[in-house]
Amino acid sequence: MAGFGGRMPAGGRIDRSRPVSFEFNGRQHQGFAGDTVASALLAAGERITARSFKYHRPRGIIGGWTEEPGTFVEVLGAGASANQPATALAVADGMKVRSVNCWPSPKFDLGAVNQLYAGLIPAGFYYKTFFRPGWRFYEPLIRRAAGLAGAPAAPPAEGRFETRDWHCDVLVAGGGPAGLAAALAAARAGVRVLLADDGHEFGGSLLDRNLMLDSAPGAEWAAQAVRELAGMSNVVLLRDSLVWAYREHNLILVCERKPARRGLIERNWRVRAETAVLATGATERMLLFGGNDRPGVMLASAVQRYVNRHAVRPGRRAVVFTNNDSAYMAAADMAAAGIDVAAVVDCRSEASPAALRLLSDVEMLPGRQVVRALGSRGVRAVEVAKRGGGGMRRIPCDLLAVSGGWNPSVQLWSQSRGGINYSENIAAYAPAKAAQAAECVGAASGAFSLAEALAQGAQAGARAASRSSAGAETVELPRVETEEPCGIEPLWESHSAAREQDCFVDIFNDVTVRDLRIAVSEGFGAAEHAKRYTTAGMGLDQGRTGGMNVYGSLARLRDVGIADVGVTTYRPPVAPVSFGAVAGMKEGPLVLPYRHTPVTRWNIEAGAVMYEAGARWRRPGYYPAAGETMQEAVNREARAVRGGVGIYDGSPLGTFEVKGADAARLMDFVYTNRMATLKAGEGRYGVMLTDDGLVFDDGVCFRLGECRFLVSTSTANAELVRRHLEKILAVERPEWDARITDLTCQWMNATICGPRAREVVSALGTDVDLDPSAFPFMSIRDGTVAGVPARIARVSFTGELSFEINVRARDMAALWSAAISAGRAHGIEPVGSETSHVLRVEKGFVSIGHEVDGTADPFDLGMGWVMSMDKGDFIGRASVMIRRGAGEPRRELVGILTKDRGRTLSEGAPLTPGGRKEATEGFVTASVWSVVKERPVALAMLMDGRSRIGGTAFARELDEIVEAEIVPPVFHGPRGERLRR
Amino acid sequence: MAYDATAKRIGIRAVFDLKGSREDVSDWAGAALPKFPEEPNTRSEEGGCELMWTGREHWLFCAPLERESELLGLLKPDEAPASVSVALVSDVYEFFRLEGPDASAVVSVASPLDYRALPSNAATFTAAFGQKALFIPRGDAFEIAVENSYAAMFEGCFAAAVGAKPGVREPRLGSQPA
Repeated sequence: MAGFGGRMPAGGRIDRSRPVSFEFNGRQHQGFAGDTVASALLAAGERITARSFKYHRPRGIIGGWTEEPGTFVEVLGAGASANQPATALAVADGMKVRSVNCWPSPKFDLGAVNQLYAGLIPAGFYYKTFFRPGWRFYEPLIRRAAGLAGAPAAPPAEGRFETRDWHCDVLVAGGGPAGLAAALAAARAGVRVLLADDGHEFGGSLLDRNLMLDSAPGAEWAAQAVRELAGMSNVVLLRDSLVWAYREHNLILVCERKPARRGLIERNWRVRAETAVLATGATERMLLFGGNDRPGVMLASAVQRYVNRHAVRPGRRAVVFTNNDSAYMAAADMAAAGIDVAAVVDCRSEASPAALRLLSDVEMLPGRQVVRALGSRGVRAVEVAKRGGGGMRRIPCDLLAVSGGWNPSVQLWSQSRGGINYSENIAAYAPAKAAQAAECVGAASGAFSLAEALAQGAQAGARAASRSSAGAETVELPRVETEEPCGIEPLWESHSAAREQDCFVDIFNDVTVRDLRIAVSEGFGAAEHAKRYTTAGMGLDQGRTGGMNVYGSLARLRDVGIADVGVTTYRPPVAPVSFGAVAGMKEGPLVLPYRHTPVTRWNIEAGAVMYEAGARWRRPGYYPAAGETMQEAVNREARAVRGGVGIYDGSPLGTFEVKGADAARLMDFVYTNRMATLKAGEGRYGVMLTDDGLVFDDGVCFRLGECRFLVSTSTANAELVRRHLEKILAVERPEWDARITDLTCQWMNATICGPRAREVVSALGTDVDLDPSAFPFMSIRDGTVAGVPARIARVSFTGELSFEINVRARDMAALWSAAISAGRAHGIEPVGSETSHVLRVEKGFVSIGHEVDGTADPFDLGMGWVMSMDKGDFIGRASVMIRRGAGEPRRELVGILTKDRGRTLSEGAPLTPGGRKEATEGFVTASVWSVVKERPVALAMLMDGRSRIGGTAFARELDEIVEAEIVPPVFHGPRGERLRR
Repeated sequence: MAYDATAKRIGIRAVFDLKGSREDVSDWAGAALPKFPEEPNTRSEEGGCELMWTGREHWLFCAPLERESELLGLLKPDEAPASVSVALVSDVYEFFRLEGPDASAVVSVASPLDYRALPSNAATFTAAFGQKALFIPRGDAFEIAVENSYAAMFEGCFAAAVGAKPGVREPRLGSQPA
């Protein structure tokens, strides 16, 4: 049958005074403001609008909103966006869209060749096929063939995305009758209300159906309710806004797709609601029969929507196929719109009298079902038979409106961890026990009549308001004057097993009843298993129209009850949400946080190569001179420190003050060695362990006073150490009197290091006596340097004489410049992180993330001396002792020197016995070019390493096995005389 | 620009971190402090100085920077009894002032704080652009204090939040060598 009904001459909610022109697959089409792409295409008579994902079968418009499983489009041009359901995408003048899953067009698609061998590629075939020679072999081809639109090639030329936080007393999800009633009740009580609806206008089903309230169309009541809400200062109304996720603590995410604010493309709201009222409605589902995916097969409610809202007739001659009463209202609206309703095929033996009263002059076929839709490129007839078999009859039509019953939209409810139970009354899953402060109302709760929806909404709104406010007003509800029959008898079978191959339970992913039968036969009959085996419910539509059919079919195939099949887990988003909305303003340099020291500007001007070096700090890696390679720059910097003087920005090191009567006990509890014996002004290197007895952090602890310590940590673990200390005081030792104050950003640190460091500090001008007898290694002094207050610490991470000059952040840039000036005469060089790494490797000092990787204890690192066993308990002690007691060999820190002096090992290179391809016995933790050895040196963790010093290790590099001598892990100043001088 | 608001750095202040019981802190430093706020996450003000109750047994004492030395002499961090922690943290916090007709909208973008529920004398730590921040409402404007190391990032974030191109001050980064 050719042709369609097209646009009706009057009616609908479109604005005929505002025509719009848009392009679909290269062809120009006309529509009106208020149209969706789908309604405009139906009005234009476009029947094949897409191709299916797997078999590339022709598909048309099936649904009326985000339940659409058939037609997804890619928006081209400035507002590029992928995989939008055509049914929910508003047309705009100049818009360009194209179908997905097809080439060159949905009407002529080369991928349709897949249909020729569809029988050979059922669900699960890929698991059995693509493992030889390996998935990687097939992946590129399959990805190209998969068909869905890709991400836009470039960010939007104009505008930006935003995320924002919001708080309200009552969040109402859904602006249909139940949601509007809830919002009115809550708002009139004076509490803060946020009402969000994903529709282009509020009203929900009141706009789709001809329902009368107080002798007026339901849409008028909706408009009045919206006007009242819009005038209230305690109400936020979000139209075109999808409530897409429900998280813990009533954190609810709403994507506002058309924010009025200039320059915003989309805005994601993170709403913390005291109470949520979920009025998300219900979704009509498909019935199972052969060819139920043919263009022209549509949901009855969708047809009703197009007729009433968009003034579009999706066909001229229709058959209605149903198992419930709601389709009779749709059929009545279709007939009123001028569609020739040829027959109503009802699988039940009889419909309710109220339903039958809605239709006259239409042939009723009770106790029958559609066996198959005929027509390869669109429905041209349907075959109808009695449910028990026989009585086959063919009815010509170009539209088949199907209603398989209604599923309450429980996705958000389920995400809130609320329970859902199968309800025999509605043959669907409905909300059960709540897990958070939320309530489902209206169709979302399984109450499908308008009167129930309004009453439930108003009551829930008032209840929700009363949680936040003393009293809530009663909302006077309109009188419902339309009869709404809603009886149902479930129908899960497809009549004929022969038709199972083209009887689709999941139209988006081309999953058929046959696929489910295979899944069951192979032991994947539980809902979660079948979903993964067949991909049913995993499409962009989230299986809205087919999910219950999957459960029903599995139950039938397994001969068990539906509740025994189980349900799959609903996860966010409930409908596609753009990545931009999720990311918000986090783009470009703001994707990750970053931190600077006061020396950043100087570093940049000095030509440093900057990158993150732990805890989000941007630090100089090295300072290349003109024409220098990185290695040349690092060698120059390292030689300066070994032979003269260098300066390093150590500001990012964690710094904490610990104060209290029990501060010393706390220090002895978190460090493995004794800190309580320190005198004021003294410091000691220390190691912190986890409860597992593994090294967690290392640093220096200074005593500032009787009850006052200064803890210096690694950069990377500064925040973790703070939390560690806070947790001990809050949970493990709450009776201890100690307090932690983070001073990391108060004291910035310029470390002057090298044999000539003392001369430079002296040249800077200081009132601190720098003589080693007055200011020995591992001590700290307060005073002034370069005229500013300073705290100088004598510690060293390089093996050389070092002064860590800590000054207030405000003074750091000036101190740095002064140090550079004062050091110029001594050949001072600024030193980056790369050089610092070289220097500590030469000295054999361990580093977080290298040797300290969460698996080593102090003995492994050759630091058994740091375990003070004669003091009381400390964190990790018992675990270390238990592990050591086992006497098992462990990986231990060693030095590695390649036998080929020119060969540098890769950090992370595995060490294996004899270099063979077998279980590793260790790995290279650090590898550098040493300026003191004039050759590559490396550190490694090697099984039983210390007893193997003098032996040979084998590193497996990508290109060869490298032999190396195992040596002690200190390549420079093993007695420590250089740093103590 | 999407929002009519500006966020300007207003520099640092004299800030002292005070920890200990209210009685102990009061005994040691009460003479130098405004009266203690009555409610957590609020502040009291006296003579241009503010005392903010920001945590359990935790206060921040803020004053004009020019008074820092004088107050340091009064609060004597080095001599405070074991039960009281006094730490100079002026340099930890970089203060921004966010103002303009859309300042509150920018707060919604920056922070999960329910600013509409804040009392006028509020002073509370929360997150801003994902990092710890101190929020102080000042009429229709806000002062926001962040760790100084994040100040440049915050400038970029504020610029992005009001609709300017983000991160204009961020230098181009090199890639970390393998």
